[in-house]
Amino acid sequence: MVRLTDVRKEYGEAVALDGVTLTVAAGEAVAVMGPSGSGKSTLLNMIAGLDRPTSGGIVIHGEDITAMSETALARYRRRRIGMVFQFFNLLDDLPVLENVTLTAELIGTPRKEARKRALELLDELGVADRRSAYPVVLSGGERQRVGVARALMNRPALLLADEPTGALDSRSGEQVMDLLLDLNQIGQTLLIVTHDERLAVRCADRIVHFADGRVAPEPVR
Amino acid sequence: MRAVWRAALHAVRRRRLQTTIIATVLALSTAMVVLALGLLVTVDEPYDRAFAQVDGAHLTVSYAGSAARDDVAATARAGGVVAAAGPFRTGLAEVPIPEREGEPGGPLSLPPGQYLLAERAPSAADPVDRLTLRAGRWAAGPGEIVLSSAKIPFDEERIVGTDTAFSDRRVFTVVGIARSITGSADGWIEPGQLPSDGDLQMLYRLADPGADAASVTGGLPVSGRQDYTIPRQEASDGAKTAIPFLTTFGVAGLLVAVIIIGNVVGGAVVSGLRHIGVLKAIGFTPAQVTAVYLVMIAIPAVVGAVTGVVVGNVLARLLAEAMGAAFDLPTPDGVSAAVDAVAFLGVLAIVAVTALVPAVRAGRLPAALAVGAGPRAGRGRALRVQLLLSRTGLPRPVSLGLGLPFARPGRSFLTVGAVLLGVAAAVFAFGLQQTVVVYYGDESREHVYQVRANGDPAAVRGRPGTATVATAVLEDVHVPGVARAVTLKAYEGAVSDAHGHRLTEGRWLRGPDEAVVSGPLLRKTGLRIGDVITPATDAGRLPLTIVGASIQNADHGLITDAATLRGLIPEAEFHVLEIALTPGTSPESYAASLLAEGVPAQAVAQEGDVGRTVVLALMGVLTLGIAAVAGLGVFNTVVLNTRDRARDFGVLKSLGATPRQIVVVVLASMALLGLVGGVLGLPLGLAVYGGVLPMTAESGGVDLPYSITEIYPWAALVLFAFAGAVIAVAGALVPATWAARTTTAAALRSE
Repeated sequence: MVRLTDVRKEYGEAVALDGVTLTVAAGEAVAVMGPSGSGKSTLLNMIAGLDRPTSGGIVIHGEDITAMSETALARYRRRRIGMVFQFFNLLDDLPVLENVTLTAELIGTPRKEARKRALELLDELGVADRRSAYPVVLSGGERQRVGVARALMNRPALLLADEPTGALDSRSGEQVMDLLLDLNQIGQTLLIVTHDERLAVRCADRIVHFADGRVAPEPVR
Repeated sequence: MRAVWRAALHAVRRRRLQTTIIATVLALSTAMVVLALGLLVTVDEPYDRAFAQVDGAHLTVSYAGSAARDDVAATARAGGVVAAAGPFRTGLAEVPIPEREGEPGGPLSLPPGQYLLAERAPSAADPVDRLTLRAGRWAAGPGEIVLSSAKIPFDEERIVGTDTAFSDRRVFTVVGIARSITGSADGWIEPGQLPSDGDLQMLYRLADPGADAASVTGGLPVSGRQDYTIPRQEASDGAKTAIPFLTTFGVAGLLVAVIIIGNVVGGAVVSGLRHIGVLKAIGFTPAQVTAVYLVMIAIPAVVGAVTGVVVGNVLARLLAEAMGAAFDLPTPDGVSAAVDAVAFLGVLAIVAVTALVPAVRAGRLPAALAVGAGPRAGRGRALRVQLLLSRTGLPRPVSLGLGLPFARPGRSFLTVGAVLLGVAAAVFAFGLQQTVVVYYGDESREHVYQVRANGDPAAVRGRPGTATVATAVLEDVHVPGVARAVTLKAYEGAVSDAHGHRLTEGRWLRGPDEAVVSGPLLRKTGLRIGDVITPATDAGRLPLTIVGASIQNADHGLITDAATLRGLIPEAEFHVLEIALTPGTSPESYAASLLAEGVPAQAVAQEGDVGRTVVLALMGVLTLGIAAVAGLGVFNTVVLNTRDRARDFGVLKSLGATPRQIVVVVLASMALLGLVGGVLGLPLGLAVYGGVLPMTAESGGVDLPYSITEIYPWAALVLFAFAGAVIAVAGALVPATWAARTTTAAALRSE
């Protein structure tokens, strides 16, 4: 499903990723852990096609995304990837339901169908009653659940989560963990970047430790 | 496309303030563009365009009453005549000097002098010199007269309905005021009221406007003729000073509108970087992100541009009417559709171009950076500045506010840019308007004397309210190389007294045989200071050494001393009186009391034609328009800037800052940016003024000998330097209050 080969990313003088090689099998849940600045989020951005590596190869679902144009990358993101962010990144201008249906409309899903699926997802995630609200009035937990619904809208092959519980209180964090676990149990491939060891242990089949932009053999304390 | 439209539409709905500001700036800018383009079209050869509009007469001929009417009518078929009107019977009538002035607010009497009356029933189908009714109605029967607007520059409405008695005891009721582009007569009456032996007038349009009159008149007895170059020259004289300034204002209005549109639109895109990042993260292609931003801007832009076209048309119509009235020209039928189309499409094209560049940049922006995952630059510098400021001893909210701009240098740069442009535009517009005010002041010399009269100085000297009386003589002379008569003026008294004339070059008179000439005359003759100019009359020639050039009321004017003039015209009578009044004396009342005694007199302020008043008012409107567009641009940038920092303010509140302290932080940060913009904008505005003014003077043939300090009083300079800070603080006040009122949690949640 995901194969990174010797991926390197430099920002000027700084090296964010230094020869990372990593694979994630379909249906697997992998947690990436490491201290701040170890390159975890950069890794996620590379896989999501939000950023490009300086060198190395990234093949997702048999496609080399490093060779894709910006437009092709956008199409790849909308069909193959779902992203959940630490700070939610919902569109403040759109009410909850519109935030969720927008991604479906991008791939040409008829509006009625998109609305039906979005309401199902919001219902499953327990925020259907907030569908007309704007993100700014939601709690952190509610926002994150809307973020997850948006990420799942197009049934992505790969769900990427960047510190999904990082901005949540413990109760909301637990709910999101349960959600991710449930998703993985029904076959959703997951790649989670987190500081939260409990989340990693509970949700992931495998934990990958990062340090100084590299995969570390042992956890870094 | 549906997703693009939905994302853009929701963004427009939610960002009401920004949308409203964009629409308002676009409406104001478009109105400015319509007005500016309308102005440029109006001031481009206004006489020629008006002349063509009403088929003005290239040639007006008066045939002696002895000529047979049919023969005169037959000249309409002469070779080279394209169209003709007439014959119209004409006759002279004289309006006597009133024995006493009318009551204030009561019916007015006509200006004394000779009036050429024509028996003519005007029609919209007249092939030549169609008359335009400005007030009242056409004459419908005997005893009614329609007067020429050239004779009645003021109070047209009040003249209508009054009875006018001519010297020969004939009485006419004024029923209307009309204008003739060629000045064919001073009044029009129904046929059958003038003596049958009066002259017959014919008006011709010619295939060759410069053709000799003899080719048309066919040997018939001619008592007078006038070709169109004379009224054309008179009309151009009226507008000559105003046109280059109005043209510059038009161009400046266009440029300011373009720059501010660019700033506002660019600012809207830049403020949406995170929004762009999220769109990309969920699968919007770069082209779709660009499209979202273009649509977001296009909606208020179209609404604003349509509103602006409507408002601009109303203003341009008023402008055209005012200009027409000022220069006694027919009013064009509003702004042409072409101007509207150019303004509307042009403004939208500017919006598209200015939005496209940042929108395309937004489309290309790495999404990782936009959603906040990438490295952020500038924080280190901001921290250093904050550390330095914290050591200054300023109250903490103030030092925090002053440090904020360094945390977001891009946004701060945009704000400073908006203030800088706004202040520069206002400084430039103010300077331009002030120059016209000063120039008109120098032309009329109202600061030196307030009433002009004609008569015996002894009758004025002891009069209550008289401070000083300067006596002068005006003579028409001929100067080689100048087709029109040149006005030679001389003052009695000390030669060295310049009587308030503003020199543009050289020096004032010191002795005999010297002359100070007007700038246009100097240019027309090709002479320079030190050269000899030789005015001539029937009595002889008078070689004078040109020692200086000055701003003069007469376009082609020449001033020498009394003794020198008497060498040429010994019998010259010094009956032109320039009267300075004692403080508190009303020039209008003073002039009225002289008039009541039969002494022709007029207050200088009223002497200045309607054109000056209209031009100054117009420039005031344009200055305000430019300042409003620029001010709104600054306001928009400041509002966006403050909103962008909502999270910073949340952090401050979480640390214990009170709402009042938050307001201080916001205002201090914006005041700093405004001050920097204002201080930089002031010299930029002065530099633009300094660069553009010589071009304006050159293109209009006007001498503008003014230094910057003469145009810009120190108080104004200081005001402009601080204007940026004032506008920025005013713009920040509302969002600062929002920031202070926002709950800490909400502010911290804002992304």
